[in-house]
Amino acid sequence: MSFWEKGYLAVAAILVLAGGGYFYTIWQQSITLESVAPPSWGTFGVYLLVITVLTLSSVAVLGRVQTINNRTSDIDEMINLKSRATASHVTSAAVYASLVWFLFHGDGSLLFHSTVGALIVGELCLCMLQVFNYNRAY
Amino acid sequence: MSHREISAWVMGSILIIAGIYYFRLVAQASAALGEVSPPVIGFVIAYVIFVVITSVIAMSILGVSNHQEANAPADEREKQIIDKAGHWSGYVMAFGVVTGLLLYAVTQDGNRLFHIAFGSLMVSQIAEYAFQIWLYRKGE
Amino acid sequence: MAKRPPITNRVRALREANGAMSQAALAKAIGMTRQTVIAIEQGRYSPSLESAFRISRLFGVGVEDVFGWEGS
Repeated sequence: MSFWEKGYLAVAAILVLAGGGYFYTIWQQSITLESVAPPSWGTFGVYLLVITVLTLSSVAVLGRVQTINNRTSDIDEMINLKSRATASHVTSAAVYASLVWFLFHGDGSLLFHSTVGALIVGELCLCMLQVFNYNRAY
Repeated sequence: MSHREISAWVMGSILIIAGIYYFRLVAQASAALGEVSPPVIGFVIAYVIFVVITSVIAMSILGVSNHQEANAPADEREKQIIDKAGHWSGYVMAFGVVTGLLLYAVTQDGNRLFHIAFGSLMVSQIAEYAFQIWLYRKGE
Repeated sequence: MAKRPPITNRVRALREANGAMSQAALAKAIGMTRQTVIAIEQGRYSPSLESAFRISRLFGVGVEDVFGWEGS
């Protein structure tokens, strides 16, 4: 497996863990409040920091144990473009779903959390597509 | 101009007109209320119906006028252009949505977040067609 | 203006030498759009290896007789 494939798998794992942790926290807060918990800088900031630190650490660790291939070949560029284009459409669809949900429920906090979820889903989709397309091309 | 470039012009124009129409309705409703208007299902449905009907009519006319090109699959250059434009439009959407989320964290106004997110989706779609047109012209 | 690919080509010359073939006819023969053929002839786009082979086989010449590296 190349550095890039491992990197995308690591990012996907981090997103699943940190994203799951964030939504679990929100769920717990919502149970306490008996309504959807409003977003707080504290909770959101902590998980954003966790994701950033873990992502940078994984890249540093992977970079030390494996040579980073300079990703400049045509096929890599095509894979990258194709994956990102598809992921952006998936993210758009997920955001649309959040907006439709808001139309019928009118809960701003729920819209906030579902939109964050949509962005996370889009990023996960990107990671999976990168690995899938990378394997398919070779 | 290729069929796909013409389609991009047409769709971009339809989305711009529909977007202006929708946000004009929202602005009027907000002015009447004295605050950011909650999203009205009727406005959203009107926007969707307008976009769907006009794009079906426009694409049908384009298809009939250039039957061969309309049915031909995208060639390698067009596929690259479509992917690149889709990729860049993703950044436009992400910027808008994240801005909306940050504003919500400060203002706790769900209606504003809705309109910003919806507007970001519209702008990113328009931007995708604009990027396609620019890349077709540039000769990527 | 976009950075031009470092690949030169004789597509236009070969097309005109082959019975003054039109860009549209060439495009149809190789499965591309006329605009892509125009972009190739103007040096704004480098086709894939497969398309390069299709073009050269259509004209009955080798790939290196159609495409070249800038400066060589």
